[in-house]
Amino acid sequence: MTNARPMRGAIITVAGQKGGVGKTTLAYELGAVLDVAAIVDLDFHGGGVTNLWGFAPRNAQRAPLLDALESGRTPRPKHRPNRPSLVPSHPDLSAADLDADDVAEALSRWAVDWAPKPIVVDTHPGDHWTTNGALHVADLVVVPVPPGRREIAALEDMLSDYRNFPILLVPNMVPRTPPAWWIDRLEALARAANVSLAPPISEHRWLRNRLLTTPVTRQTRPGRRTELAAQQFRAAGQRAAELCQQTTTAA
Amino acid sequence: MSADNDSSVISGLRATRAHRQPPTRRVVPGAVAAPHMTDTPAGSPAAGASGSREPASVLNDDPTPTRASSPKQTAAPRRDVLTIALDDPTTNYAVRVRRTLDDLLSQQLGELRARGTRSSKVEITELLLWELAQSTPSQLDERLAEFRRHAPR
Repeated sequence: MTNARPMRGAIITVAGQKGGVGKTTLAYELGAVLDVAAIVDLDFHGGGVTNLWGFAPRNAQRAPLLDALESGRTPRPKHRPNRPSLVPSHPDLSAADLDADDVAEALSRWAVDWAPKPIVVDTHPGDHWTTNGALHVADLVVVPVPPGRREIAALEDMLSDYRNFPILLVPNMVPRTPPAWWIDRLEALARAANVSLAPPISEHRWLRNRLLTTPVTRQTRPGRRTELAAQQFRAAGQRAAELCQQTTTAA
Repeated sequence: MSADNDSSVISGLRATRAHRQPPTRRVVPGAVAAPHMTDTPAGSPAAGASGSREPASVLNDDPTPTRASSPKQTAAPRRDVLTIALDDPTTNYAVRVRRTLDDLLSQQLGELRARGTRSSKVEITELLLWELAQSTPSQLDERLAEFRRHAPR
């Protein structure tokens, strides 16, 4: 029996209905840990991986993501030492005359062109056609879940909207003493929706204001707190890689 | 999806809660007031070698006694210097203090600024609490009694 589907790298979409849950940081670190072909930044509002990576799309002459989506060509990711490669976002993406199918189709094509390396996609929070496109073709949807009432409510909605999607929940920004109600709720939601859980990532508040643009998992000569954060991101990345392998083998 | 992995994540989170420690009682080394805590004669070699003019040195984490072990020193509880991490979570104190103390603090902050040191009320409060961590209950009792004589409530 032949497999008609061309071989392609896994597509890992980092998504969440709520903003500020740590999608961008997680996407950036996953990109570094999994040595991806590229991180595709679909977060067009300036706070995404593009900014973290140190790229200013408004000062650039070209918009590789928009050009690629509109022309149907595969973009050339940008490279910098010690950083995962990037297809940077552009503010005009929100107003582009495209839809979720265009994004899904483009990502599938790029995954074939960049095979066997995976792609990590950073998304805009909430319901948007760019996010939906990336979710529909994802081999794994990674959802960071910090301990908070509204975050859990948003997760509940997301799990109900995206039933049967291959979802990995990453307990994120977990304080030293995580709230008992949150652990119970997380467990119940994961069990009810039959989704997986990654090893937790602690609350590293210094990460928000970190000036270095290299991922912590690739920082040379890391300090104690950086090394701790890096270990946790690596563990989450390893879990994501295992699940990707399971889903792609099953497909 | 592997149920084993998921349950280990949840049990790990629960274990983190279960193993949480209550705040540790901070113990100040017995030799805080080093100069008057020793029975060793001032001219003796032990007193000279230990640097008895540096009470701060007995506050460090070095477990070795700084001078020949006198009975008083070994009996006293040891308190380590409290270290506060940069990323320690913060908490809000809703504290009402009398105006005089607030004015005094503002004035002292102004004087500090004139000397080129910038600080804040929060930092000074933290400094006082940090100093408090090095007090023994009896020292605290004495200080409290003294304070109450001048500022009854």
